[in-house]
Amino acid sequence: MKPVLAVERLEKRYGVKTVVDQVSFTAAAGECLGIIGPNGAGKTTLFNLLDGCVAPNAGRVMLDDVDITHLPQYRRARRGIGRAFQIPRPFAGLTVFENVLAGVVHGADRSTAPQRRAIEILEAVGLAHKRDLLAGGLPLLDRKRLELAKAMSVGTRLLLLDEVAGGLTEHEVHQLVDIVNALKRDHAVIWIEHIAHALMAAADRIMVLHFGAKLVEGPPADVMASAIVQEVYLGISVDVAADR
Amino acid sequence: MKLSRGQMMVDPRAILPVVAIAVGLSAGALVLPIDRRLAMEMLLVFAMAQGWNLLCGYTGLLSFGHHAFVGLGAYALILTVNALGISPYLSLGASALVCVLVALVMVLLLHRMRDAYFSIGIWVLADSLRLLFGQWEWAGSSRGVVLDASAIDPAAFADNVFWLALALALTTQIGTYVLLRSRIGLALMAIRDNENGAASVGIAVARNRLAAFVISAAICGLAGGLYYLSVLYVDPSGGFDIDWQIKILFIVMVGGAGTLEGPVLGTLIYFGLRELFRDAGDLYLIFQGATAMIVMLLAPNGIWGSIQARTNWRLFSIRWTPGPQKPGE
Ligand SMILES: Nc1ncnc2c1ncn2[C@@H]1O[C@H](COP(=O)(O)OP(=O)(O)OP(=O)(O)O)[C@@H](O)[C@H]1O
Ligand SMILES: [Mg+2]
Repeated sequence: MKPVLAVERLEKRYGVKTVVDQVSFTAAAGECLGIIGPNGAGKTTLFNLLDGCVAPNAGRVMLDDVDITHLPQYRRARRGIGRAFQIPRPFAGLTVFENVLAGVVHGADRSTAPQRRAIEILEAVGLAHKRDLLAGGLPLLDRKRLELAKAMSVGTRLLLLDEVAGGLTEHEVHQLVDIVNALKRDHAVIWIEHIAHALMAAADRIMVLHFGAKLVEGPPADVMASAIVQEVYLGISVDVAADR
Repeated sequence: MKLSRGQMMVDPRAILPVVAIAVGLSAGALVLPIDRRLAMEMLLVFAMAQGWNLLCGYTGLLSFGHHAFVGLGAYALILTVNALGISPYLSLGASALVCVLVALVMVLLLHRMRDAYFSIGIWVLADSLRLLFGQWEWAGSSRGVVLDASAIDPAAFADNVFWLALALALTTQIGTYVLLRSRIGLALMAIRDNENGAASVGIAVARNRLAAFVISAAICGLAGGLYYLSVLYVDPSGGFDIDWQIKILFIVMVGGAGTLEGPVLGTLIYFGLRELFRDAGDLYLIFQGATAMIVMLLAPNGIWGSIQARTNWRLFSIRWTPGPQKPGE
């Protein structure tokens, strides 16, 4: 299948520090690519390069065979990239419903019934009953849900989810996995997550970032079992792992 | 789909703005014969405040330099009348046009500035304009410039200016209401609440912000043009007086920034206080300052902002709702 997103040798430096180092990968509709890596590995920065928050120093980003490396953030959103930020960015003075509607009416899918579309999204993330509340007054969990809803409001092609499961209860994580599994049917989904079992339940491939570089990429079970990931990610040294 | 009874009736929120404007106009018509000059000034200052509110309360850009547009509007009108001999009412077009152009130039200089940097940056620009006009010989330098009175018909003049002020105030109120209810309004408020979040859902931040800035500049320019048309004279220290900005700030902050009702209330309070203490000299300024401080302490969102938070009353509601919630939700 043709990839929705193709990333070629993407690089970002802050001063002398290379935060994203020559990363290449693809993501197709119908699959979920999981990204893991220790804190500060450059995962969020990689998303910044994909959605256009930040300009890369080198490399290319292709969406549906179009080079979007130099498109501004809002134009990428209008091409169907939706992003749930690690730190939620709600529109505090707008209602939950308006938060989602804003994306529906400005994003890619200029749906003929935007109000209905916004409600559908809110129902999918379980916020429909809170639609008339101000987003600024939501507790953290609901903010995370809203973040996902906002990503869905514009993300018709590609969804970038940055630690959306952090802080959820076990039950809520399961619900989230169901949502992601439903979304990946017609989207390419890239999900950064520290909660390994959530990722294992949704991802078709996992990529490991370490000091900004791609360490390994492959089927979830293989990646999680590999010695190098155990060392980098889980903090178990290779020697110890080999001894067991 | 079967329509329920509730859906077939007209939504009461839809007629509230019409009722509010009708009541406002009737109340105005009652007091009008007492002092029409004051009524005109109130309408113009209200328009300025609402234009400024669009930028500060709904787009999140706190400008301390909108007196620039009052002065520019005034000069543009008087200078085009004097130079071209055209009707002063037509010259209002020049007031708006000059303000739009200057606003565009200001954006080139200020577009990287946010928050306090923007506030102070535009204040500096407004002050620079005052100094510039003070040096500009053709525009009368610091002596100012008098409108060529042969251009006006004295019999109808006062009436005309009043009706234009009323039209501007009404257009501003209805126009901002319609704009804010559109998808542009949603974009502006999203930008106000989270600039990066707005861009990430497809909103063209710079373009929308520019539009709000230009519109608010044009409104202040038109109001300034009309005000100084009624005075028949403008000089740099009057037209570019920061007191215009202070009035606007007081009205919007006390009434409630980010509400469409707030500036109406603020204007009534401002002029009410001014008339009450008109013979008290400096005492009036102290009272004005005290009012602002007390309101800021007790009701940080302004008086209407607090009323709205408590009662959820809205005369000009710009909320989007998907309709009544389905039972069982
Ligand atoms: N604007 C910036 N300027 C300088 N350094 C930055 C900037 N943004 C990120 N960094 C650095 O880049 C590195 C990667 O940060 P990033 O937020 O991408 O990590 P992450 O993998 O998302 O981590 P976490 O798991 O904690 O979310 C960090 O060392 C961070 O300090
Ligand atoms: Mg991160």
